[in-house]
Amino acid sequence: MKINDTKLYLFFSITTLVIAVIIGSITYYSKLVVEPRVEKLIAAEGNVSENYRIAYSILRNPQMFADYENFDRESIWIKNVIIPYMDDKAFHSRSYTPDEKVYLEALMKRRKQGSDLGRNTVVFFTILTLLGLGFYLYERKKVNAQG
Amino acid sequence: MKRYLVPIFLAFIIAGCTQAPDRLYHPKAIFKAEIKDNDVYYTFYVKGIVYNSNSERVFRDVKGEVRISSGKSVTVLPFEIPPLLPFQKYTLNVEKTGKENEMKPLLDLFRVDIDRLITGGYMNFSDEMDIPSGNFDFVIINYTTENIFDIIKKGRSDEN
Repeated sequence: MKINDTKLYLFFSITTLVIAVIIGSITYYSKLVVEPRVEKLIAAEGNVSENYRIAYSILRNPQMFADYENFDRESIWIKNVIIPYMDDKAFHSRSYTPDEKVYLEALMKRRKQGSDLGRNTVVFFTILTLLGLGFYLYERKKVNAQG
Repeated sequence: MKRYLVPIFLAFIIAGCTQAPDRLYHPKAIFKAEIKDNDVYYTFYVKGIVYNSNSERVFRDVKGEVRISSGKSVTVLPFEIPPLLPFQKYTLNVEKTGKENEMKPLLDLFRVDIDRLITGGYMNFSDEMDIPSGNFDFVIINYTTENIFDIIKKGRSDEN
């Protein structure tokens, strides 16, 4: 008895495509909307405290692939130094100063690393989708030829 | 009945996500002997680190107790912690002072040599000692929480 793998390849392709679309939409929302906005806020010269506060409120929420609770070297610095320091400023309603720019840039760098990882994951799942689709078409052609 | 299930389910999820500090890290005990008005007073100190491992929740009005059980008696050391921000550590220090008869269970539990503690001056400290985990309880009785994002946004709206 021959097994018909057509459906298996089709479902595999659909699944990987859905994952790629979900991760892609999150990643490119960050790359095209969030990151340019934050960069503009960090670079702004007037009303530093308010701009930095808005930038921090955005960056405080980590990118999906760059969680601050992950166990890597940079997250330890962010978790133990940057977040407690910046949260404390917000908690005590202290103004943000140009000295804090380096912290915001570190958070921004991490967000970019996260969205880069997201983009690479999208490429990986897209390749899987194309492979699955290729196998699906090949298998379908084979089944049709066998009648 | 069904209409209560969703809120109950959500409440469980939220409660699960908000983990209050439930542990005192590196708890240490120290004894001090002090002579006042011809009486010897002993002070028992407990210190340790409280850590807010939550990434978004600020814990306010945290009240709790450190309980040290020695034989049949339980020494309760109440404490209050200032607001604990996400990923923040706080060094907790609690103490209890009393005369020998009152402090005897604790002195016995830690096998503190009273003679060595009081000799040589008016104020002496024991070595820093580990607290046996079986005799130690860290209990949070009450707290309120707030989301750090609300605080950051509130700060912004206050300035506007």
